[in-house]
Amino acid sequence: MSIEELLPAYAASELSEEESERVEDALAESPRLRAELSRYERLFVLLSAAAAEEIRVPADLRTRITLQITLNAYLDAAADLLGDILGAYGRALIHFLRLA
Amino acid sequence: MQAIGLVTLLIGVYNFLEYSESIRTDSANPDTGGDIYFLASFPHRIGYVVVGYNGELVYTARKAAYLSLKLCNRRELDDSVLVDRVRNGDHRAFSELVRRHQSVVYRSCYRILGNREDAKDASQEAFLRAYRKLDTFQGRSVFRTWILRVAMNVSLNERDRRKLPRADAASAESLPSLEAPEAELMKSEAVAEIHKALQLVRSNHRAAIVLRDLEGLTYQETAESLGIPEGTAKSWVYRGRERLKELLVA
Repeated sequence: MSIEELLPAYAASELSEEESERVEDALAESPRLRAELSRYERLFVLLSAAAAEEIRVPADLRTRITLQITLNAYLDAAADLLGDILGAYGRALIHFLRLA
Repeated sequence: MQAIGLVTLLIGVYNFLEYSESIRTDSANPDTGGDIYFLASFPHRIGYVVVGYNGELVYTARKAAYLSLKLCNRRELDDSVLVDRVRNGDHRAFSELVRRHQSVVYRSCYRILGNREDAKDASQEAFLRAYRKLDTFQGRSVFRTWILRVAMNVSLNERDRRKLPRADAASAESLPSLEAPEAELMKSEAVAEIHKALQLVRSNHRAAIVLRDLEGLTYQETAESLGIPEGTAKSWVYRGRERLKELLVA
């Protein structure tokens, strides 16, 4: 992996000690790489701000999901019961009507 | 003694009614749900009733306090236990899984789709799909990464279906580059810029950035959530960061 490819991971402190030393050696010799590192560091400041942003979950999300699941379960159970009562023809009808 | 018993009985009834009310209130509030919470508060209130009824103040109060403490210390059930319960037909267990993971799922969908209403629909669809496909969850990964994988699929497919502007086609010209020092930037403005810029990053790279840099998942978790090898996840994160740097930082 080239030094350029290692730079963002270096700015995010994701590299091993050995890789970090490689990057630091290259940085010491290259103003261009230092400028690039500075850009990545500023990017991570922005990303941190975005990560810390509070995104509120809609209050009714859990209720909507639970309601939908309960409804589906009842419909499946009702369709099974109807299928048992009506036999093969009933199951075919339910399938045809897309009730289950 | 009888007077004390009567007073404590009344307190017990009041607390019991308060408990019933708290259940109703909680069911409407997704942030404070959880059966354990109510189980923990329940013996306290039953304790008042029993104290009032028997008049054996010290013994029963101690017993109630002990039970309450014991239940307060109970750990939440593991996700895998809840998954097993759902498989055995316990729908309430799935509701608890939704409570635990709805925040990370909703946030991720929102960051992919860039719209709260779409994120809400995508989150709902993700949980419904997860419920239907729960048999395919084999427990090799944790439930969080599994549900995130479903949510990522739903969000990315939804984005393609609605033909939202593709990263390659969208122009970056409308996005001002942030040259000012960080201290001068309003935090909310910076966050808004990130959201705008994210929409100009390729879908798969954006998903990787959202999971790794915004949700703080490890590379392994990011890879599992996207259904790709870890090396690919690293590459996608790298490409995403590179693109964001070009868009946001002069």
